[in-house]
Amino acid sequence: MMDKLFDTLTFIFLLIVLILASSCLSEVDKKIYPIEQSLEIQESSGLKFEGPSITDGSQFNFKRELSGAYMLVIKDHFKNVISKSILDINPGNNVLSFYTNAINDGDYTIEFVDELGNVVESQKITIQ
Amino acid sequence: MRKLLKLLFLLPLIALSQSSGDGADISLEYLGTTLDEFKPLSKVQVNDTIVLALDINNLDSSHDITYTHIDLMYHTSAFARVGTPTWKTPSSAQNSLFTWNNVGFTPSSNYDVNDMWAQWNHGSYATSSGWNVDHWQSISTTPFGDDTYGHFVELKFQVKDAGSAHDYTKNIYATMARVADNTGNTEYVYPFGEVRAHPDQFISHSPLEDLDSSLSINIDTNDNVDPTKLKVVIKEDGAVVATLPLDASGDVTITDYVISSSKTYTAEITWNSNDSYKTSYLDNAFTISDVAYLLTETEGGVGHGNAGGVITNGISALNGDLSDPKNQLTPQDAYKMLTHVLGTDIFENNYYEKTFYAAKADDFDSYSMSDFVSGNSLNTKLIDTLSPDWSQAQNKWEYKTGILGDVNLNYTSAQSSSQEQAQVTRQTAAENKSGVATSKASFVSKIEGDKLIVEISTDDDNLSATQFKVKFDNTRLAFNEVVFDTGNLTTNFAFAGDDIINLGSINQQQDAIKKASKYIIKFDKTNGVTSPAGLVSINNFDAANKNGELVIFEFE
Repeated sequence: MMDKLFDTLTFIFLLIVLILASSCLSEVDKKIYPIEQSLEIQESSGLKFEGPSITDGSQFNFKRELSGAYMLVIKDHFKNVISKSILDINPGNNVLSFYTNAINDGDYTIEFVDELGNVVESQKITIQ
Repeated sequence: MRKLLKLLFLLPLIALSQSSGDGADISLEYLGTTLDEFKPLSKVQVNDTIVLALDINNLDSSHDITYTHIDLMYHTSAFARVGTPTWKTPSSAQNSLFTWNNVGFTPSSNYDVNDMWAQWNHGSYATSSGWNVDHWQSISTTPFGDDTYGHFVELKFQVKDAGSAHDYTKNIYATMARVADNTGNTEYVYPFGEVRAHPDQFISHSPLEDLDSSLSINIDTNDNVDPTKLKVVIKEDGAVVATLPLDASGDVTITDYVISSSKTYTAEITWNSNDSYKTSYLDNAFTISDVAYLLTETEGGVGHGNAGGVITNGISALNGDLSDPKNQLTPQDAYKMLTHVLGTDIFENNYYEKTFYAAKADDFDSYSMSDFVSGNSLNTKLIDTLSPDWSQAQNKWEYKTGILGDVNLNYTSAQSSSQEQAQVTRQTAAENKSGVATSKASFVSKIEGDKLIVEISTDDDNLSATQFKVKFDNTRLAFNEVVFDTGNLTTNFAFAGDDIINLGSINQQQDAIKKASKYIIKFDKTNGVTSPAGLVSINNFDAANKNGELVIFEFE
């Protein structure tokens, strides 16, 4: 009777270990592929959004060779600056979220400006 | 069983519309007027000429129609048949018409009134003053009645004024008919119950007065006021008869709704948009530069209480005259406006009703500063009584609009004679603003620990007032505080709405606010925010120079 109980407990324990191991494996998977394919940039630097239209919380990838502080500038349809933010950028891929709740729907130009004031990336997007 | 199924299938048709089902339906169709084929019957006036058709719809697949006659009765006090009828029968058909004058029809009560062949046999005609009966008949070797040739016959009637006591019920009335098929060896006559007036047997329209004037309203608004956000409510003797949105030019045609010379009509200008648009638009009209302009007039400018010293436009003065005594611009007006901009809603949320006004365009255009200081009031209203001159081919009511608090007239209609003083303009998605100069500013946000810091900087030694509306993502940020660095003699203000921080400064000492002023807004951010991108934006901004004139910020 005790042997049977022990066997059952052993089976349950092994099952839990197996489940935990498999969930760790998916973590490892994520680390191997840190960005979604749609945001991958083949070149050494660049800017990529999930698509031409973005919604609240959409991600973008700003890839640079060197680290540094960059200014993200949002300009409206009439080229007025409506928002400007400082981003600390690491070498390689920088996958970040873009929030839209504070911005009216419309067409915008997104610019990234380096510390010397040069526009290093620029892209038109629609916020919905 | 098949008969039962057929009966069940036809029952709804029979019950609902009294169609012949499998015989011939005859209908009196209204086809508009000779001048407007789309004019609804309800809008037909005295002296219009209406076009009617007698139509046959053969539903009997076993028989053709080669013979038809239909009697159409009409009251000669109300209608006069005019012109030449247009037969739509085969070219070889023999068409004929004869008329009985002063003859009226009495249907047989033993049969349905729309059972036209039964009524031909059992209804009766008798002398009746004022009624005519036309007998429309066609016989052909080629079948008709299946829409190959269109309607059976088309007729025209001129609409007459029969007097207010006249009863227009069934004044044009298809009384009886006979339909037959002569293609076989013997004539087949469509039997009782199978020649039905359906769907329309008569017309009972009481014509409108002969008021052939084109009526319209135009509301000329400032470019910052979208006229499609307004609508006009037309009332007839106090009852709403139409609610009509303005088009993009501020025009609306009301001809179809003002239709009587003996009734009283009013037009009321109301909003045609949601409250959030209304509130933000009115709020944008009444800003710190308006206050600065009025303060310059009443407190520190060359006028110093001398009306017209700085503000020379009568409409501008009217918009700033918010306190007693009326028709004088006083410091009390300026401080009441300042109170509003600093965050106290002096209109108690009834923005539209208490601030938005319209006036007849001619009155508005001619209103001057002299009128203002002399106590001549501008007749402003949102409801006007419309009194058309019916002898004119066209009546057009033209209005212009203004908003109290809009002293620098960025949201108020332009007067026809006003001179353009602005030197620069700014176009954004929200508005088009005109000012005398531009001024550089910056707006930068950055995440610092668990906070988002926004820094607004100006760099101008000629600014007397500033105002910024900063929109923030209230799902991720909570407003914490604003830190001002604007100089010792400056009055600062900030108040937080649901998702907007309204902040700014004003110097009331005839001096400028500090040249390198800073406004630092601190927000607490939620966990999981990975970047500052899009968390805040400049929603609107405003500024004035030391003369109280509007200055436009350019953010770099």
